[in-house]
Amino acid sequence: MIELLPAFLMFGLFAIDIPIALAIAIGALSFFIMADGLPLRMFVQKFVQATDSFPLLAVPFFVCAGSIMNHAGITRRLLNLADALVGHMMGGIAQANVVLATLMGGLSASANADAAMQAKMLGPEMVRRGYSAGFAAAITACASVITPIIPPGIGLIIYGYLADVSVGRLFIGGVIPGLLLCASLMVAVHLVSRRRGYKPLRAQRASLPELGRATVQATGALSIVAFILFGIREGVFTPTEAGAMTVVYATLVGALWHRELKWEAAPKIILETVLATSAIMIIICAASAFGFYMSWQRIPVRAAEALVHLTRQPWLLLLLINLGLIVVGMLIEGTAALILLTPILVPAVTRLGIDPLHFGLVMVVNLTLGGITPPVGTMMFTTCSILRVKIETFVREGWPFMVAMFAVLALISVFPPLVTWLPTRLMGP
Amino acid sequence: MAAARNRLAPLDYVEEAIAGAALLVVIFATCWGVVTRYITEQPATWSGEVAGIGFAWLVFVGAAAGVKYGSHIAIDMLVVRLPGPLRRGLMLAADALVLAFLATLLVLSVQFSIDAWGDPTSVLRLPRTVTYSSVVVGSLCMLVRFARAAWRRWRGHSAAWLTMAAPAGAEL
Amino acid sequence: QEIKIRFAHSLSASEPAHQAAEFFARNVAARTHGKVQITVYPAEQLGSGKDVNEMIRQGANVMNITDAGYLSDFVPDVGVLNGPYLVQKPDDYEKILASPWFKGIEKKLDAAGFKLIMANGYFGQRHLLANKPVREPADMAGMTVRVPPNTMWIETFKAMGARPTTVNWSEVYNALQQNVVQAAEAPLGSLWGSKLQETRKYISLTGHFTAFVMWPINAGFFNKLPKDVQQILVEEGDRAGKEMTRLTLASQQDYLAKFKAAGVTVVDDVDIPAFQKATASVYKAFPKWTPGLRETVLSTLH
Ligand code: NA
Ligand code: NA
Repeated sequence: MIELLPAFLMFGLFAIDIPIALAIAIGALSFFIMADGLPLRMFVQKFVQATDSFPLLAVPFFVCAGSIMNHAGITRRLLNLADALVGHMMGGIAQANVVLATLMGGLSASANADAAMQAKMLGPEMVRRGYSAGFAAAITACASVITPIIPPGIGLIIYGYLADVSVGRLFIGGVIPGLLLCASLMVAVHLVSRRRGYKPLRAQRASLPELGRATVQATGALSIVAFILFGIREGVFTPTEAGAMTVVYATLVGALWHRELKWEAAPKIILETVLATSAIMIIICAASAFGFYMSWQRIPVRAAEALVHLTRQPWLLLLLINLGLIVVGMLIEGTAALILLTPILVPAVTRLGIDPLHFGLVMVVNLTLGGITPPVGTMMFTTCSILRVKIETFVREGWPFMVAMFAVLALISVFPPLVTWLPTRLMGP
Repeated sequence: MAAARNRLAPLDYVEEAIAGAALLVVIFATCWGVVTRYITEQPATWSGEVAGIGFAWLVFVGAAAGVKYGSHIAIDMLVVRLPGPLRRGLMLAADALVLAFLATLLVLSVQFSIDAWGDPTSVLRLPRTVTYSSVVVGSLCMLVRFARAAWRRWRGHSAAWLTMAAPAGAEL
Repeated sequence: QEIKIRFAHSLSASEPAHQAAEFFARNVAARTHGKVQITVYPAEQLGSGKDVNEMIRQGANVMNITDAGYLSDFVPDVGVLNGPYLVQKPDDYEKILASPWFKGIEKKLDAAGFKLIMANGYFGQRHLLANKPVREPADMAGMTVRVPPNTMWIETFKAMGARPTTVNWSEVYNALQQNVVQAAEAPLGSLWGSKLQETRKYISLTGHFTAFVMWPINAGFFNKLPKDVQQILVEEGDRAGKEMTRLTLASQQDYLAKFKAAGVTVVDDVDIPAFQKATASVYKAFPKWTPGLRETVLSTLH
């Protein structure tokens, strides 16, 4: 029981209103104080470790790009186009948010980078147009779950490596689940918007000339999407590097094309980026020190080992694993959990005849959803930090979306063909 | 008094300056890594390492700036439901704990930075102290910012906790 | 009283290196009647290889699977063992380990905080995965090759005429698939484990590095252990090293067969002497090394 003390301490500190990053860090530090054979100052190494992660660099890049787009009038043009396209639907911008995350899924491998960019770009605009900030934060974080499920995705690559499953198959296997997540969120947005009275922004569909005008005005903005798409598809840069290049490109579009980006905006853009990035990353840094404590004590590993011995029924095991992963996903970051648990769970499920390709998508979707479940969820922290929303508000506003997405998780758990049919169709058995 | 304050005024923006510079370094280094893959004879192999060092400074010094702007998030399920005196007591205890943590972090990061002097980075062979000293500067600045705010609360000048100072949805 | 040791590494649990670690943990437990319990933590669960070395140096009670290149951060001369085309066969490497020169290196590592429990585990040769066969340095001219962020790799691939670039390993699959880089290099097991054969169809057996792993533990912690436990750890370490060499050699043929079955062309008529000649200059790129280091090491072979 003493092994769980740091976890209890962390929860206690959450309740007394200490900043989340510090509550997690203090919990982790308490472990380093108690641990045998571990010098106390190693805490510093584990606290800093996450800043050494190259894919996480996408966070400042996309926050910065989002901020530049706001100051350069690029976001406004893009949203005018979105209005023309989906403005007649219930909760128009929220729908656009979901669709954008799905499209970004084809480019970006990281949910967090997507959450950061969309929160920065679309969030304030949604608030200005009458949505509550909590709603905006919740839908943005939930939509970002789709991004790494639509290929490419970091989680699928890691799983493929650890479970010895073809990454290409996993990527293709993610397409249908990704689209299902998108569809479920759009339905949820529709229902919530109708109840809330988030009215359509326009009475009927935009006329063709209107749509044409909006498209022409948004050409600069669309060229940014084309720039990222071209750069990654043609292999000019990696998905993380794309972030840095987008910052430069968006600056050029804002300053030279639209001529709306002025020098005076530079300090503001830098400050916004610094504050949002550090607020997000300091929590991820603390969570990674806390994750080290969990790994060192083998807590998730022991729990998983106990779990797989409970039953020999494939469907029951899958249900238990899903429930267990939801609990794990609440507490630790998805990638860390994936690395810890894949080697334990995969042999257990394959023994019972579950296809490791199918299980991979179940596991990656489940742990990615962990990023939006309290109390520890990186995409939740990202959108809450950027939009200044409390966690309670996030949960209150976000639960219908979470329910919708967990329903999709249940669906793909129960019907393996939703995952395996497309890869088999395209790549053979 | 006023003159002294003016002379110290630039110090009020030291975190923003350092973290902002670090952000530019991260962006520049990463872009340079991409560009040199195409235009120079040899790609710049140091770019990822420099970006990583800049990232640490951006995060830890930026977090100190975040204290000033109230950009850190908290969960206050319990505190807001408590009666006044108990709430004040709990907040002061929380302040004390945070200050103790930051002071500990400062000491540990100084020790660790000194120890890391003999541990070189992979490409540029710089002491890894260049990364870890960002925690020294960051925790020192955070300590100062939190101590000032805690002092104001102790004196009863401000009832509000530091986090979430701005209204929801407000842009900075 | 129980002694608990945590044994961390950055490789996947399917690799011979991990199996050798488990083999070691089992044997030590058996010979000490469960008094010494070693738990293996694969896949960077306790941090990157470099971070775990730093933990060991600072006195944490952990072991690591690392190599001469990483340890050269603390004792520069040991890095020569990682040099291109230094030795080709595990037997030659064993001779170097038995030499007085290496005993001196072990003393220096000890003083830096690293006691080597094992140093003779064969990890395999590193080969090149590309979209065309590479038989001589000219075939590699101007080729953008993904390397780890490490001076030895960067200098070696520059000397071969390639353009080394340091893409993160977690992005290497995407980087190859989308042509950010043209080629990657790693031991066969790592290339297979990361599924890189899905992106490129030629493996040229360049064997530019012959890699062995080392198992350090904190020297201060080791010295405080009972003498009999110390002896068991070292003896079992040596046995595990030999086991790892055996497993690796056995797996090489398997991997080659797997690659061929996956439609990869294995190019085995590589002009090794030409590459050896091209990379001779690399040994001059390390100012911290003792002068004439390569010659000293090679003289131990006779
Ligand atoms: Na994706
Ligand atoms: Na969570």
